[in-house]
Amino acid sequence: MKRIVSIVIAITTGILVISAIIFRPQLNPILSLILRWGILIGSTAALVGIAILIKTHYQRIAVGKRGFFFSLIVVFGFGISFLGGMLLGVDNPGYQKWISSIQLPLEISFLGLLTLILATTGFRLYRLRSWSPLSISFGISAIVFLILAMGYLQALGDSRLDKIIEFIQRIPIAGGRGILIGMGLGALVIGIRVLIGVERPYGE
Amino acid sequence: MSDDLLICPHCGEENLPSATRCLHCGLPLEEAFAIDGLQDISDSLTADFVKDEDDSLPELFRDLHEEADSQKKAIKFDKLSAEESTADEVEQNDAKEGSQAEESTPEWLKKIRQRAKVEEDSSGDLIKKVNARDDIPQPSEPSQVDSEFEDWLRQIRLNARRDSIQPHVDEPQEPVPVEETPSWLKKLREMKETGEEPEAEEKETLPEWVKEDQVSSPSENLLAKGHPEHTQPIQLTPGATKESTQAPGNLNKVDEAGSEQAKPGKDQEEQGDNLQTIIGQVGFTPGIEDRAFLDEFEQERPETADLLLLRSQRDRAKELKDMVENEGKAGVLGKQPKNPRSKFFLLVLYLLVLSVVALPLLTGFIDSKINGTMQPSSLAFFESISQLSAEDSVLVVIDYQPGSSAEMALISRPVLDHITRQEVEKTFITTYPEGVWLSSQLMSHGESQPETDTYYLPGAKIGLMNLSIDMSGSPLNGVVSSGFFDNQYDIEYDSIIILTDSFNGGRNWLELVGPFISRDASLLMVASTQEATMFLPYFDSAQLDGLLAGLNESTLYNTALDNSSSTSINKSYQAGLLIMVACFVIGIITSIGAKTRPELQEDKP
Amino acid sequence: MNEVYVWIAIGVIGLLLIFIKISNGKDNSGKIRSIPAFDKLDQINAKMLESGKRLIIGLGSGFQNFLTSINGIIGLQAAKSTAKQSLLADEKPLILSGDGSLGSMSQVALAETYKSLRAIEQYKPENSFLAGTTPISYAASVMAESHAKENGGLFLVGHIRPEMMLPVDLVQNKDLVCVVSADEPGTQAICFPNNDSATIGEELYGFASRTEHQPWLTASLKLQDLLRILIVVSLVVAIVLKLLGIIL
Repeated sequence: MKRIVSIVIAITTGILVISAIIFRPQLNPILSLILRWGILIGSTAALVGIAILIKTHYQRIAVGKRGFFFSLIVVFGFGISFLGGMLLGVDNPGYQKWISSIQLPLEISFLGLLTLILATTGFRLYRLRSWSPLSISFGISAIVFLILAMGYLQALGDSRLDKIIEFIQRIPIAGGRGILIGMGLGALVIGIRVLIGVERPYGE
Repeated sequence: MSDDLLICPHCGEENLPSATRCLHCGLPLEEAFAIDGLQDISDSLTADFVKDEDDSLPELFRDLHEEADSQKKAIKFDKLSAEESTADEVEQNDAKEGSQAEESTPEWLKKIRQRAKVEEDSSGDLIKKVNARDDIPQPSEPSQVDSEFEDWLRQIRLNARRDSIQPHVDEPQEPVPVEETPSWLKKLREMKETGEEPEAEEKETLPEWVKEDQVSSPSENLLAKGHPEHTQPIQLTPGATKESTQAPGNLNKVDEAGSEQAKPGKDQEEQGDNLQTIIGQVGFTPGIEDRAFLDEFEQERPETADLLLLRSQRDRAKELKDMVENEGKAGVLGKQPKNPRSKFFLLVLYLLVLSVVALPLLTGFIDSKINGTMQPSSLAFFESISQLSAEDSVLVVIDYQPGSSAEMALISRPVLDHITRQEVEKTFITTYPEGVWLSSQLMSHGESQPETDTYYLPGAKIGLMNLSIDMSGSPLNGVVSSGFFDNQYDIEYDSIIILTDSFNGGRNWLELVGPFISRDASLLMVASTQEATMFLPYFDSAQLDGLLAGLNESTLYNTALDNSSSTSINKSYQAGLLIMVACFVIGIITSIGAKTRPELQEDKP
Repeated sequence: MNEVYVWIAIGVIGLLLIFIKISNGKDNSGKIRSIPAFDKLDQINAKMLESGKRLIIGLGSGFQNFLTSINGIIGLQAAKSTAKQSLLADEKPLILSGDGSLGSMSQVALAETYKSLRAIEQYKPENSFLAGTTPISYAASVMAESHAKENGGLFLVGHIRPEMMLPVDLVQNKDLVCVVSADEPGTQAICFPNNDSATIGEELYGFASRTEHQPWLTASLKLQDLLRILIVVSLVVAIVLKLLGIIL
């Protein structure tokens, strides 16, 4: 019975949303209501997820599992941020400055580390992937686009060269669009499977 | 089954209970062991190996042999098989006959023959071990019988393995026609004629190829490891070789102390004579092919098979251990021998590439200031902002994560400056929670920015769909109003500028919200460099009115505003790109000829 | 009028799916070409079982993730099939989500899977949780879990952003197995040089049919192929008509 109820709710919601998007002016209020329910449920799910995360880290601290010190840092940081936001308010400039001074350097350095890894990956490309048409074309295209991104060729000011550069820069669009069309088709088919009740990610 | 290790009587090292040859010195652990078909030879060989029966057998075995009781044997092995019982009867009969008949033969030979007749398969060994255990505290009889039975089975298997290794032991040596003289003999005679060396006469000599090929085969390698005396070149005639020579096998005198190694540098003639004896006893006749001679000589030596077997087992066990340890791990490149010349060449190449990268930056050869014209999409962006006036309002959407905020702030700074100059009212809206404080960071850069409110749009994609409803349902086009959680806000807009670092974020704005915005309003986008290409089709299809993407375009935008751009930022950006190019190029050069990881050698797209 | 066309299109596609499924019958094989990344995944599961280590499954990153609702579903299928295969394993798979709704759904999916196998006692809520609310925090959390001693491999599936290259690199350096099945072209390009087990394009959607062997999943893959052919034909026809001067 529980399974049937969840399937019915999923199918009904899907059909309603599609209908409301298509028949917009008439079904706008229904669509708005469903979407706001969705926002609420998504936000609540995020809160539940955060609670489970804190609980998991707390359990690791309580058990004394290996690496519990990092769990301690997570719980402590969460607690401080949460209490600060509740007490001072999210709009407080001091609170925002404090949070951003911690978060921004962390995330920016993370992306910097990603850049280094990409550089080493480029260095090891042919050791890892061997010499094949795919890897050779990958390497050549990477070098070409890196050189184009520097702007030296554009700085020459030759109009014909600019046109050639523009043409080269548009070549990846075709491949990217093809992949995106395929992804869209896959998402469409999955959506239809959910609509007809074959796909049940909410249960077995 | 006894776990006791056997102690070699010669070198004193420990060996497996089932071993018949010492792993360390290679000498037999039991002199009386005989292989079917080689009984006569083994008798004669043992004559050379063992001078005196009393000296050869260790005291322990001697005592045990003396104390051997035939009745004990009959009782113990009565349970094993009917054949054994008959063998015991035969043994008893033979014992009686043997004791009466022969007195001329030496004692030790008598015992050997006696035992050879009595023992079936490995029962002789088993008896010996049983006797040897008399001095050791024994478990109860049933378990003792069981353990002995297992030993007996083990010995049978060992013999079967040994037999499989020596398939040709029983084959009689085919006599070679006397007319054919072997090539080595011919060479010797030729040398005799030239007078370089004294005549070899009738002595059988091993040619020089024997010395050269002594370590060419795996079996010879194994021999070299365990029996160095066997790999020494055999010199039958004085002066034939400068290397120290030793006859294989039997010339290692086992002295009373039990030293196993042959003493190098013995008298060559004496060695040659001994070898002659061996060859004669073994039954080799002149005329056999050189290679076949060596192979057959190796096969006739029983100790080789045991050592081979044990060592191959050890190697296989080691391989299995390595496989188990490396299981689950990615393949590791084998170490290649490094050629010093190639290292120097690579070093020169690296320095060259690095100089190409560093020199322009250090000398300022390449102007860090970006020159050129803006792309059409950037130009359209510029013109769209330029058309705004003081009565207009702009909705700025912050749709990027904090990690890329530095880049996005740099790219969007000239845009905000331009909007400020146009005296356009701006409102910030964000879909990320962090966007609330990112907007303040954005406003703090560049020219003085008046304080503006930042609205948070919850729900990500669903929130955008909800926003589109508000936009389309609003009575006044160009107003965003939301009644979510009583947080009503009405935002008037004449242009929407989306600041995004991901293609998915920008695409959702374009596809979910874009169709429902006012037709008079313009939809503009500021994106990071890597997403520029993916947004160009939207610009081509007029879904996007302007696109500013990348640091270069932003610098040109700044130039168009007559602002000065920071050269250090451009320089570091270009340096970073050059280093990436250098990494690729150096990687290509170094990977030429290098092995790839084993599981990645097949690259299937 | 355009809205009616949309309805018609969705209806036709749905009917095609049902038709293909019926024509396939109970054919579970699907005759799908082998996808190297998922072939390796079968070996990985066996290896995890053998070595007594766990597999980490990353379902996707970002609270503000816009495509989670669809491609994250494939990650849930991966979680279910891995849970089934690791029923007798010492360590159960660890499922890390970057989205709250995915985190909740993964817990439900795991519980239902173990319930259907009559092994509900093996379900533990701490085996599936929200790892991070932002993309970078999610990547950091996956890195921390990947570094654990009991970790034997990493399988990323769903909406994977380029930052996930960091845990992938960490796992590669530890000589552990890693399979990446992302839906973003940028992530696919980044993972391609460093990882031999990365799916390209729409190979992501081929996962479920390989492990579950359900006829509906096979039929949907065939429908995707059919639609792709239709799109290609229509594009070519449009180009030709445009070249001929017929304005569409």
